Amino acid sequence: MIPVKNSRDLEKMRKAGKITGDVLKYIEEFVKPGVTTLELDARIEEFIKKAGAKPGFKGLYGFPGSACISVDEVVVHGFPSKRELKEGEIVSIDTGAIVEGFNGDAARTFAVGKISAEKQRLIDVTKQSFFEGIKHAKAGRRLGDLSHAIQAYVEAHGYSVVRAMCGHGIGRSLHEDPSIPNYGMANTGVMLKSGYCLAVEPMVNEGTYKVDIDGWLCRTSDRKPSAHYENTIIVTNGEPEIITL
Amino acid sequence: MQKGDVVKSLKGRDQGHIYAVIRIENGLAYLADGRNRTVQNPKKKNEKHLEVLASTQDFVAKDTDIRKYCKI
Repeated sequence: MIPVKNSRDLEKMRKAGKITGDVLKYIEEFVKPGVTTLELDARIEEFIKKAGAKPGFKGLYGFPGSACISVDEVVVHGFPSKRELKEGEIVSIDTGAIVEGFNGDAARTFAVGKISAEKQRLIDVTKQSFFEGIKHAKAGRRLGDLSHAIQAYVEAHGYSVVRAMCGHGIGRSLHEDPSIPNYGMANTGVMLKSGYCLAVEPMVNEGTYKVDIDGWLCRTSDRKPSAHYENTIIVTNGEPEIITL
Repeated sequence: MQKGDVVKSLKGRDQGHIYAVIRIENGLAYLADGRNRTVQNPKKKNEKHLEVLASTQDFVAKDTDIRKYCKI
């Protein structure tokens, strides 16, 4: 069952989305060689709390941090730790804020210092695949249109989409129906309605789409890098509203 | 609003009650909760007096399923 948000709910979603988007803009300047992922997590948590929100990830399903911080071949769910970032790595930061009971969720992949042209291209394609997907996020369209658009764009650029993880509905819970795979056939799946709130999050691998999942940790099977880009959107009868940008 | 939506009554003595929409005709929603109001004996309400809480996909109007939806 997919919750439909009314105008009061959507206002709260927008507030949660704004803080989530703002914290990711804020944290970018602190992503540098030598910084630990624990320091980044602490800054993110402080920012969210000062903005009057609650960190949406902390304690959820037992996750210890306020953000998933995943380096290079780690796809998602990287734990904040004393691990220092190194020049040339890429780091994906996925976080969320809760305002008045409603969640925002977003992710960005940042460069640590100077990175290779290949890694930069991976980040850029991952980001653009999100925008290609949400062109189809309108009332009356099917979820498969969005999923297929992401997959087609990513694979046309020689990369692969992670299949083991997917996007999701969002609202009072961080994860609601429907699941939003980043691959699929057009004109299949759930029909979208105005008032749906979705977290669309392509996860793109340089090499194989296969991943190894060990407890929380999810890494590419071939240990090649992976990038992540996510925003929370509100489906409307026209263009979707991106509330975490 | 359409068939398969889970709705909350905003007006009337059943204010706050949750139903599933089993059909819509001429601005009136035909509602069932699977218990007091079944698919055979639906309640009619003006769409304006209802708030959509959730939508379902591939909805089949059966009292047993509707009871689960209305536990929202």
